[in-house]
Amino acid sequence: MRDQDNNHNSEVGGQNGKRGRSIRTICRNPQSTIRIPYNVYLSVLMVMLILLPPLVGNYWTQVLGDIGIYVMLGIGLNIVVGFAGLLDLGYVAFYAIGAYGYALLASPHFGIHIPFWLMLPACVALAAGGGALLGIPVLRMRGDYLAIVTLGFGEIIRILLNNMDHVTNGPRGLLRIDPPAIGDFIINSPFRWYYMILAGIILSTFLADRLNNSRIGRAWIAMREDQDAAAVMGINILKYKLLAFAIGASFAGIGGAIFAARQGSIFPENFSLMVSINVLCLIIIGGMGSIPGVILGAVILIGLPEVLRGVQQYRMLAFGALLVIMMIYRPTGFIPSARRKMEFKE
Amino acid sequence: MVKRINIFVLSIAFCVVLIPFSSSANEWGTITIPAGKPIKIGLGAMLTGDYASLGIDIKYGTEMAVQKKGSILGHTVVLQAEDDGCAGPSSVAIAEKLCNDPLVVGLVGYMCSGGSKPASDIHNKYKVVMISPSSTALELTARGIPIFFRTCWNDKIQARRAASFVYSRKWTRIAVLHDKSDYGQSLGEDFAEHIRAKGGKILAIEGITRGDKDFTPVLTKIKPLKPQLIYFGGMAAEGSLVVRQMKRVGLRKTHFMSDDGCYTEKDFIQAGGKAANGCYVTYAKQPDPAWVKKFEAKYGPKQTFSPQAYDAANILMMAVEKVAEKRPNGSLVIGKKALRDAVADTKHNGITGEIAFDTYGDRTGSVVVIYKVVEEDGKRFFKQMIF
Repeated sequence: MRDQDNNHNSEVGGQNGKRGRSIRTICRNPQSTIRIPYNVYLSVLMVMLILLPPLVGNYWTQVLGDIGIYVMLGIGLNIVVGFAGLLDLGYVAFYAIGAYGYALLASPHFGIHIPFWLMLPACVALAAGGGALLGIPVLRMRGDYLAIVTLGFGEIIRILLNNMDHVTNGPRGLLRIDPPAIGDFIINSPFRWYYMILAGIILSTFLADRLNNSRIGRAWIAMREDQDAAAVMGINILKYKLLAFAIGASFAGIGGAIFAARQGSIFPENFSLMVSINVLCLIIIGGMGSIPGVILGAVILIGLPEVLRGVQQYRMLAFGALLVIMMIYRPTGFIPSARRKMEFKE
Repeated sequence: MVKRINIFVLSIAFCVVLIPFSSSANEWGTITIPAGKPIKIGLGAMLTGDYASLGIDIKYGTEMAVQKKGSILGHTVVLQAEDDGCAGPSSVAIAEKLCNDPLVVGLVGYMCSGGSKPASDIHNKYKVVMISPSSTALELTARGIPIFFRTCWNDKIQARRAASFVYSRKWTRIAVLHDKSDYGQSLGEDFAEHIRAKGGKILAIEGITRGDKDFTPVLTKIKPLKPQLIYFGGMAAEGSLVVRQMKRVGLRKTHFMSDDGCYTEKDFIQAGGKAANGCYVTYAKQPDPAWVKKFEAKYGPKQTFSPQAYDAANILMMAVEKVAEKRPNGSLVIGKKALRDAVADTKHNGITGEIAFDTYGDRTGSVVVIYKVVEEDGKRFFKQMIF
């Protein structure tokens, strides 16, 4: 069973469609024909992404940065929802924890100015801790009940931020948050942020991909498919659920710290339920459990409203219509993970 | 796998190499409008969503000013309105968009303080002037950003004016409610501070939640303290409910006072019903009636901030006219620093009254007026108080 899984995973490299599979069955050697084009595609894509900002200018680079932050959030939530199958509607809480964690210790609010690079691991740890904290009480819950509790958790964090005036300055928010710096080089323009976020995405994609194909990832998938069967097969449900929550949350912690430093000021209203819903939507649009899907989903969900600015007040209507059409014609999402696609066909 | 890792390392290396090449100039510089191109006035307001009616009102006010002006030194003036949704990230994106547009000379906006705060940092980076018709948060001017101005008041001015009125009525036992928003809370707390400074007694400061419908628990809590006045910092949706529920819990003799958020005919007077009678609100001086007539003929009933937006657009266009230099080839050159200084030196008799700015970008002079809801001949409306 496990061997089959492994084989399957190595096949899921990047190709899709029937042609790839038929070539595969003929040559039986994954290294020969398919791998090299995949790598070439990836490098071409990388070079394109790196050369993009000067071509599109500051405004679109800013939008790309917004998309990038959502990609990071999507990759994180994808671990919880896509891999481990735990429906989390309060994901924004960890984003807020990361953002406020950084903002409180790197702004004139308390007069503390800890460098960004020191705070980044701290924010990750804070968010992961928050994730584990949420994980403990919801260990026994499944499905709808889990969704409701996580929804509540997200709101609790936002309301706490709004009401703890002495610590968080309440609805007035935290202003003049320090931008990160490498030596004397301060990251404060959309271009610089773009490259930083891109580096973050590459790192998170890599981590999430490795996790998915690891022992932990397989345990999550087993848990998602049938928790009881997985427990019988010797998977420690408690451990892997907590791991999913904590690891998923840590991505949001990075995203939050970047968001706070990039925007320069944050308010509790930036962390509303809509952020959780948006992140969940982009996973569903892109294709549950698939990392390229998350990236495409973020481009569509966050980028499209900006593209549609031309049609002014009808843009939300156009956007909604596009989503509905998409869900009718591609119910598995744009780039579904190979495993999910198979499930859907069954 | 080794190959894949190599590519990641390679791309990260690429990033590191490329970063130093992408730098941005930080000088004030000039704006050049080539011959035959229009001058753009930017606008950032919420055009879709919860408070869209306020944002569209602002857009109409600005549009009217721009259309009336028509052209400056042979260049047509056009309005570029953008929907910022009143939220940080989208305001910042719009700020980047408009500041990088070579034809945009300045901007009217942003509508909400939550959008203006992060966006003003971007405007300050590019040194593009912004004049907000409706962002009242104190921090916007208090932190000394040179390119920010507003044609409304800041929270402190409004709170001080309300407090002096309350003091003149000899009401000293006061309870403060606010809606836990940036706007409502700042206002409520500033008001309380002014009352204390004048020797009044603040019995309670309580926060409520936007969107709630039942405020009787907090009102019941306030009732035994016997306040003479309840001051509410927030919007009409909650304000009208507070007024109705005050009567229900038995706070019949207690006066009610609120801010410009409650200065709306429909959401406060009509929604509040009979309970709204006798309530006080603070708002700007009534704009020029001739202007209101023209506005309403074109766009329908005026909401709240269109007069301030109209004035803001006019101030911006007047400053452009003053500093723009026409070159022989027909292009216009506008120095950003000169434009900012021209706006700062504004002495303009606008439809909302005399407009001049102090060194922080706040409007000087007393522009906040007290209104009382009265019923005359079966019609209820806001009546200006002489104070």
